[in-house]
Amino acid sequence: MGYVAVKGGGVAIEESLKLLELERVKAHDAADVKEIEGAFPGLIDQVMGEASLYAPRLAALALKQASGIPDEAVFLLRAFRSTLERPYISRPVNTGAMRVRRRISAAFKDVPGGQVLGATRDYSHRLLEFDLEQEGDAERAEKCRSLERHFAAVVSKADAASAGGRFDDAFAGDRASDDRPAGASVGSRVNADVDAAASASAAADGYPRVLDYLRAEGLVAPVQADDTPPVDATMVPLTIPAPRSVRLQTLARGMTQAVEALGYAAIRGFGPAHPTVGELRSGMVEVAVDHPLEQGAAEDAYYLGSVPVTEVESVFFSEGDENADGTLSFQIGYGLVMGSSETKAIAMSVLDRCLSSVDRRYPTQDEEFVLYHVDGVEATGFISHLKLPHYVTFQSKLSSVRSTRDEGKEADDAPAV
Amino acid sequence: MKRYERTRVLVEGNPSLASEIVRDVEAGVGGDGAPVISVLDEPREELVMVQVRETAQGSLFYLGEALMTSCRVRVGETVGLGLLLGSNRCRAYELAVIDAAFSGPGGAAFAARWDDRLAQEAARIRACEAAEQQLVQRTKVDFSTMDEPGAASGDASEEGGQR
Repeated sequence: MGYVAVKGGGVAIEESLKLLELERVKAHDAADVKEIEGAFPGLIDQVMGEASLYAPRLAALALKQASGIPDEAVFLLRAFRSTLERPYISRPVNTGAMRVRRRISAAFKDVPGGQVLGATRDYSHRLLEFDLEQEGDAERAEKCRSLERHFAAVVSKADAASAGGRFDDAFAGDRASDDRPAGASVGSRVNADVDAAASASAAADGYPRVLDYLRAEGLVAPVQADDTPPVDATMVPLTIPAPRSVRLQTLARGMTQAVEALGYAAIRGFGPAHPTVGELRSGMVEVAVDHPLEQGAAEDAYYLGSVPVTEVESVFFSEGDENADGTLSFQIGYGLVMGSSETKAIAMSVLDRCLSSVDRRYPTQDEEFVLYHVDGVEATGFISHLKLPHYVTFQSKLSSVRSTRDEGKEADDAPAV
Repeated sequence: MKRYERTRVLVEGNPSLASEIVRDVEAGVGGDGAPVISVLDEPREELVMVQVRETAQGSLFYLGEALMTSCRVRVGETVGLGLLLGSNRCRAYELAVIDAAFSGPGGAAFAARWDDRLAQEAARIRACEAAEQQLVQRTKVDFSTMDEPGAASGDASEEGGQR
């Protein structure tokens, strides 16, 4: 059977798009982009993370256009991203200098710096708040004023207690962290200078890393700063085995639910072990670029702004993880995502660890299985293509089935000899 | 004030400060008259790839891209660059003009005129960040055990929840 070119459907497609737009605009109380950005920060984070593009307003616009379908919004943002030039690569972001808004450890109750919950739903009741159905602008404004009064009183009380000295010290620490050299370690034991800078940062923000403690105790192997330029997963085809940079980038931009599902599977028994979240911290990190013609010190770089991220260092223990001297140690899985998608960051750290020890008996330790299937645009795109015409291939299968049935029938009808 | 700190103040601070400085530059205040300002690259949206050093193995990887706006201008004989996250063409132009003004032959003298204002704005930003940190610190868990006199029952149940 040969292929036959056909055409048609142009008018139907145009009318279909108009019908889609009619369904969108006829909805009452359609939210504008600013409202979407303000009302759904978690969804915006998810879309930006999966699109691998930090642009909150555009993410809100994409969600509006996509009628709230995250996959579609991610597709739109990725398509938009491909229209822009990318002349700059930032200096390596130092997550040790993060302006922390939340920091917890499941490993140590009395972690230095404390368990700081930040704004979290972890301990909220999962009960529908029917009051929100009637919440109008006036009620929202009043709640806002009330909470601001509450926190203003808290700040005033703390100011009186500290007399400002504590903040001055913190500012001095900020300045020290700004002066850090390029590629400064984020708490790793890399070299003396970098360690000193990281320690200064940790001391400044009051949240020393759990990982630093474990390394100081010799429980986690020290690492050297690896300045190998990363590979950009968006610019080269995925090859197996993938460089670590590709693995981390692919997981960071992976579909949230896919990364979480595979991370969950790994913990349930399809992976190396149950992790302990050594540390989870979220907050703002600063993005800076060097002058295009005068790459120099950090203090001469251009500050572009700050982006919200969530970082997880998971600690793994397994019987097989022995050092050269036969002693046991912990292994670390790393997760970092845009925004506040904590579960995704934890799952990413689990998968990072899984993929560090290839064992094809487990799907979560098979790079090809994980990295090829966590990308949302690829997954939805491939599955969606099944809706497109497959007339010829199906006709071919149909004729095969018919011919075998006919042959079978003829055999049945043939007189027995 | 070095470029990183200056651009941080101008990006995070009150936008009117950048506008004031640009008006000063355009008027040629403190110089030999109003300089010729030419826009070499019109303000436009671009991308910056955010590079991160991860802490498990100390390697570098790309977290993803961020939308940014850039502009390139020439003020007199000096070229300046304006860069910031997001889409803000006016601000990118202002940052470029200020970058050129602070970098040119008379940059040090011009910068000295604005150092105090920039330092004040930097202090204001730090105060805001400190205030935010105070709120965050309010959510720090205060553990206590059942055995301690006066331990709140809520805290004790938290303790009991540890595994």
